[in-house]
Amino acid sequence: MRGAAVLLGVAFVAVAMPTRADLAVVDSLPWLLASADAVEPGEVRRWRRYGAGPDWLLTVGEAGPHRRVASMVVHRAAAFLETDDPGAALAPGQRVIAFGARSEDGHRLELRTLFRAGHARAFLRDGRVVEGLDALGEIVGAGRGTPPRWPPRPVIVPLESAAFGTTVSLRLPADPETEALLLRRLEHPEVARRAMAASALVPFESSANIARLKRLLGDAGHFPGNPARVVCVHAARTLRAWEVPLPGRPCGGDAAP
Amino acid sequence: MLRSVGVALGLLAHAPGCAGGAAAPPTPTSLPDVCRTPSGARAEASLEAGERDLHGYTLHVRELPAAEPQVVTFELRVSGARSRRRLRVGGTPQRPCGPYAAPDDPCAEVGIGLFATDLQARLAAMDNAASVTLHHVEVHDWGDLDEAVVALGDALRAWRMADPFRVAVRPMSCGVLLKGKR
Repeated sequence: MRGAAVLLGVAFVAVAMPTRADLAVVDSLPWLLASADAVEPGEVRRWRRYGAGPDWLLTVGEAGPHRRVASMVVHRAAAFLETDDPGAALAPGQRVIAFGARSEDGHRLELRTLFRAGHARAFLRDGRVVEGLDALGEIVGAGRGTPPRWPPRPVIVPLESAAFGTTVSLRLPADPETEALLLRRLEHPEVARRAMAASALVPFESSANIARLKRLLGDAGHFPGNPARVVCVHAARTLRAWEVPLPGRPCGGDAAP
Repeated sequence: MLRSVGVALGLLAHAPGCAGGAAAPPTPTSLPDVCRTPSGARAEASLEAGERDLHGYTLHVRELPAAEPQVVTFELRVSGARSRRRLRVGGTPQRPCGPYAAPDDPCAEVGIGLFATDLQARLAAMDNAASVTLHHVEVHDWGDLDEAVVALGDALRAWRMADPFRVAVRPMSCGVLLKGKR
């Protein structure tokens, strides 16, 4: 077992507070994909201190048919710093979604194995994220509706809360709900979120989205007369990935993005 | 098995020759207009045969000779720098393609299931009532044709498909209720 050789006590960090839009997307992920990015809903059973350090041992009960129980060690994260008590953030019975890593042999890996391999990450229903250090910056994702025969290529969508300071992101299926989330972010008042949405929109090529991104080439940014080059650059990259002809330097500057 | 035998016996019992009397032959009820001709008029659609730009790619539209009365079929094909994937209708592609591919993606075959699912989602996003079959997009209202063509062109472009796909404007397929003596 390749993963079992890796550490059991992998420290976890994290904390991001997704907005309601993010949570709406995450809450509608009912199934796990056997051969790709697994998701297993579960609940927090109990927690206790792990050693003398700032870590906590968290026990998660799997809600799947086998009712497995997995334990993981979480680092005292920023959310706990204020109270020094995970009970303030976690409660027995609280729903969580544990995200598993990709299974290369086409079979679903056990939750316990995933945790031991250090690939598991957990996402709390109330918005807090517990993220594995080995793959910080990516929560492995899920699917909605009926699992497709072949797993779709997932879309990396940074959490809204991750726009600044962290790199936590969701790996979501390329489906209409994810597209709707990105389209909402294209209209977001913050430049960074418009830019990340333009960047993540790549799997959703359509005439309507091409027109939307072309409009973003002239994004006015925060201040009139000061175009948001970052939004333009990301939009131009996506348009070029779609092979949409653009003028040489749509965002100005010395070189084409 | 028993069920089919029962149906067969029932049919025999209702056959005119077996009923012992001169039963009236079954007559179809009158069909609604939507079952005879597509709704709306052709003037509601702006689609014409020829070529048009599709964001740097070219959309080729060809009207096919009518194989059935009241059915108008267009064939759409997209050509462009990387439009070279083939549509596979039967069987399973060895390496199924996704809708978006990097330039160096060697994937060459698109399974009809994934393509049709994506196309149907694009139509649904437009609130278009067209339906996707294995061989074409079926539209029952001329007013839905333009949207269906946009969705189909987008899908062909996004999947980098070299093969054409058809869109047919046709009357709704309706069942025929037989009226007769039971």
